[in-house]
Amino acid sequence: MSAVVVLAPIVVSSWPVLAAAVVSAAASAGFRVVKREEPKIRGAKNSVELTMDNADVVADSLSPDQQIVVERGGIRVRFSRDARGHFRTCAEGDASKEDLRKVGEDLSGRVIQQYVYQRLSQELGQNGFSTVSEEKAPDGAIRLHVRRYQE
Amino acid sequence: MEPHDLRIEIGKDGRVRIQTSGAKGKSCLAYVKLVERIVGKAMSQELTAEYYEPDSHVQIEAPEQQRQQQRRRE
Repeated sequence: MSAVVVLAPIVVSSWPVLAAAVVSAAASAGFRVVKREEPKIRGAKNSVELTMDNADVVADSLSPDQQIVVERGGIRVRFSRDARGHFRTCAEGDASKEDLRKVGEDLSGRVIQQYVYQRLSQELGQNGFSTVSEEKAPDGAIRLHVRRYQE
Repeated sequence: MEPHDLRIEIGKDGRVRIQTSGAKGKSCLAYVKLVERIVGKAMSQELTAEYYEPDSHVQIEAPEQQRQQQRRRE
């Protein structure tokens, strides 16, 4: 080992790329994507808004529908791009605000995890790395081992 | 040809921990910079014994060079 580094992700992405990360993260957490025509949850008592630090969505006139809603067990989580370009999360349902915040933060984290995973896989591949192994750890982390040969 | 390895852990919150191995000396920092460019900001860095050995050769292309190569391949 020659260096061990911990990095905080900075997300600057187009909506389609983030939407793909949302769909993937939601599926892994047992959420389903809610179709546009489905009615809102009746009598949802609480909602919690979360702004994700260091996550911005690049304006894209080709993707006007910059919102995606997912649901699990009566909790809906809406991901969207706000007017200032920040990536926002809103969780709503009958659960307590504390529980909604927990669900929203967990799912947002998974979205960032998926985004980082996609970026790393793509960019490291372009830099000559190939995957030696890949696994999902019991704590939900993704472990990647990549290698390249250098003269 | 020597193998240069990266062991990457992407946490549930998106935070990334990376260990380099095989690239000796300061050359491992080229990989750290590459991952920084892809992921974001380094919060902590620990250098190990391999870092103080004579440097390996590491060549990372700049993004523009990569795009040009990709175009040529297409």
